[in-house]
Amino acid sequence: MDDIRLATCATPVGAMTAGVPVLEARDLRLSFGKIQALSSVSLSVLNGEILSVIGPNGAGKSSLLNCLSNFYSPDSGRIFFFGQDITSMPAHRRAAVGIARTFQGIQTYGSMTVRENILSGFHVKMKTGLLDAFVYWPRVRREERFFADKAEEIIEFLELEELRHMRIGELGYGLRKRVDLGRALALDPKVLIMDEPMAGMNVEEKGDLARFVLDIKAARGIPIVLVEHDMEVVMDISDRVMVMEWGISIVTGTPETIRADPRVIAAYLGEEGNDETGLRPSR
Amino acid sequence: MRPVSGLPGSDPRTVGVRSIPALFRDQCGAHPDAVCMRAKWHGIWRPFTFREVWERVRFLSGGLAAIGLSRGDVLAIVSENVMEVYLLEYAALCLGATVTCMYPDVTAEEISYILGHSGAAVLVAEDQEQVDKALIAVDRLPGLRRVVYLDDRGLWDYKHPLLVDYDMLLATGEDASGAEPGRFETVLDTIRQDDLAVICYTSGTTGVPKGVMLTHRFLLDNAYRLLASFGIRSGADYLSYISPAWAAEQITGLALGLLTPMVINFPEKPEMVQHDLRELGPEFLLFTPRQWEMMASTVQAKMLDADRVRQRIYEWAIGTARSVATSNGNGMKRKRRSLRLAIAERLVFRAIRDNLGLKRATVVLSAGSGLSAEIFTLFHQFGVPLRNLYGSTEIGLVAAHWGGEFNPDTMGRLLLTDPTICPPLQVRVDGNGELLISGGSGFAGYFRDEDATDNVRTPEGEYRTGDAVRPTEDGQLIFLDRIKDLRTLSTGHSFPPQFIENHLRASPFIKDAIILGDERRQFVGALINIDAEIVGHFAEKRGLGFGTFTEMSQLPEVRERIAESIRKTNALLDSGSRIVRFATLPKELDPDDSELTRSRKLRRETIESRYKDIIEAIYDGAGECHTKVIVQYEDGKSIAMNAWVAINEIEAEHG
Repeated sequence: MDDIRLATCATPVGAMTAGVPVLEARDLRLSFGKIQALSSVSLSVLNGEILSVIGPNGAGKSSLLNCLSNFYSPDSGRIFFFGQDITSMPAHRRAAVGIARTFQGIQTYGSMTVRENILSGFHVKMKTGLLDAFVYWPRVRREERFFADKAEEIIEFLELEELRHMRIGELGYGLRKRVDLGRALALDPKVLIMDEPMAGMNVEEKGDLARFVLDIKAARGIPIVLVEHDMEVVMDISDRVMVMEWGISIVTGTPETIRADPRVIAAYLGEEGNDETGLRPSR
Repeated sequence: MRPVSGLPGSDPRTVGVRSIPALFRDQCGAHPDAVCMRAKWHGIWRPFTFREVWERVRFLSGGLAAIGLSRGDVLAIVSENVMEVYLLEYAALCLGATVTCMYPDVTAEEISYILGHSGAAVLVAEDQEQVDKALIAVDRLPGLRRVVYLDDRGLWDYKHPLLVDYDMLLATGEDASGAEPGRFETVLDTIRQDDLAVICYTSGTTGVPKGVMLTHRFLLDNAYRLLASFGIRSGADYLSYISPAWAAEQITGLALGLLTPMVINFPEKPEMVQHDLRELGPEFLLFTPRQWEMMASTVQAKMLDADRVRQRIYEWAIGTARSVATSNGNGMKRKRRSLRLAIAERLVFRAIRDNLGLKRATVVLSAGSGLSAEIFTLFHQFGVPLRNLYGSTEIGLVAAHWGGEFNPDTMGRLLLTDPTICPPLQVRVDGNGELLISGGSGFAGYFRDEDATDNVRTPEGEYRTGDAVRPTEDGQLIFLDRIKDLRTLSTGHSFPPQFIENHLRASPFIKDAIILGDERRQFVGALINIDAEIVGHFAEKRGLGFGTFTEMSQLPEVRERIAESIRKTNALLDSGSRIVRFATLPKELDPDDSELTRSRKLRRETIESRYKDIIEAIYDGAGECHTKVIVQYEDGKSIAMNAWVAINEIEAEHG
């Protein structure tokens, strides 16, 4: 069968910009009144990697993500996308150039079907407008077919075939998050930012989503910035991990180095050190 | 006893001297633009004509030759029913190679055994899961030259030197066919009807699997038996659902699909079969009894879920159908009944058939071990002309209800055979009551196993079915039980365990029943594997509290519900064969625990040794039993859980 695999239609990101980080933040500072949310945080996401950001509550993880997608403007510091300064680029433009983000909780339309929700993710890409849609020109039809095909590729990729005509409202949390991810993929992103995608999921749902995250990296070469509390998942799927505490990044490295780092153990486990976080190397 | 002979068929679509590839070439020449296969992809059914399919088969044949598959080699396949598998199988047959298919849920160990035993040169593995299983064994299989995968998902960074992508194979073959255009035909013309086409490993309810050899003649003869006996229409729709690891799908999908020809439709994925079935409304269906039982349970579960009004209408409709089926009243009464039936048909049955995808179904078959009379009756009440098909992997399809007749107590008459390739079927019963079969394309033997072959063949060359069967005066066959399965109690009383099990399984609450009792035991006992879905629903509706399957299985209300079903079955039996004591199993039976075969047949020895504590309790008069249950995970780890199991007694009925 003339299978159009997702891998083949992904834009070869970074082909001309090898070595340049896909997304880079330099020296970000952000404060709310007297509270210093971020004090000099830097991060760089390389092509084809999963970079996880971990840290206790209030460490500044969400603030960092919000700066990256410009829901917050940093007080100082710069953000680069493929080497280009995008510090002042507004949030919707960032989405259009390929910085996609999924949020905590559910951001799907409950009364629409799985397929419709994923199709809605394409709206920033559609050229024809509302008026065109009423007239239903041939080019509108062509466009619709094109995006319907793209949506089906995503449905196949995320293994949602048997649910394509189900209303989102009838689905469980894990599946809704998967549809949410499908919508982010509809943007054909160059980098994907995921804010606590596994929160509230059971073990099986976490396993499924972790597999899809790995597949997105492998099949489409999309780098992923992941904020996640489940240490087992983080240590399992990340290429690099950045640890934050009190608005600063204390260490960045591979899961193995993070596990062994005394500062991380101190920050996470306290002096006594119980192993519920999964940070300790398993014996 | 006098032998019973079948008849040659008169359908003109005979095979002649052709092999499967030669037949394909002829069909393609006769109607190149007719639809040959249809696959659902991205939610849309996409048709492929004979010309298109044949071209791909030729290319794949070139591709397979390029990676080292040649005449006499074995191509092994482990996959769900996808179109690529069928193309690859035809392609291999065109090279004069042999194909063996495995169920997609085989373990790594089973794959390794079958690859080793068949000496497979190339393996087709559907996806990452199957590739992973195969790669475990690959170092111990020096004969395996390549592993072709169909779906590259998750395999992007696999670097194993044996791996080949399906698309690459197709492209290689396309290039090769340009270089040597005549080679394909030359090889094809050398293939003979008695060449080995398929090795079908039987599920092996006892011991290791045996490879049954199926020749081109065997597959085409068996296809003709269905074609001629049921008069299947050219261009009919068939949904490929039963696994090609089973001989039945090789006969119906691969051979009958070509001979008729039918359109072979492939579902989008296994989870979508019920949905795709409804969209398609195929005319010809062949499912296993388990699949029919699952369908019946689906309807029953949906009705349990429905509101009170719908439930009443459904019950009224079923009651009407039942009374019509058993009626013999006068003219006026009969007229009123048929009017009521017409209303029931409009209100209920048509909708059920539509929802099950059986609206257009005219040839509807159940093959494998016996389907219970209750399920049969239920489908007949729905207006589905369900028929039993009797046969075995070794000897093929033997008997069925055809020509419009149906008697639920029998297996029907011998099927018509192709007069151009073999004599009619003939059966006789020997002194032990065992059915022996001759005629037709016969049994070619077990692959690399002379001893096993001799065990099932009489000196006269008849095939021993191992079945206790009684032919009636008018040539119908009545199945009693497997010869080895008729059991005798210590009292000397013989009883038919399978018959009892089938009747119990008809209860929606019972998924499997294991009947106990032999020459060491005084009475018949039973282990019941409850249907988790339906019992769970039942318990929920009644607000019964439970945490685990084990707890649910032992709820007093559940046990009482099971006892009720047993009493119903007991009523059909003579007093010595009735179930006296039973227990509900604290764990679902599972193929992963080797308690069932992959086709969901019971593995009695495993079950009886695993639950021996419970069995002892049934026979030593205890009221309860504390036992350990072992659960095995797919990665090979196993854990033991403590379970409390109640032993239940069915009060003796008098009169």
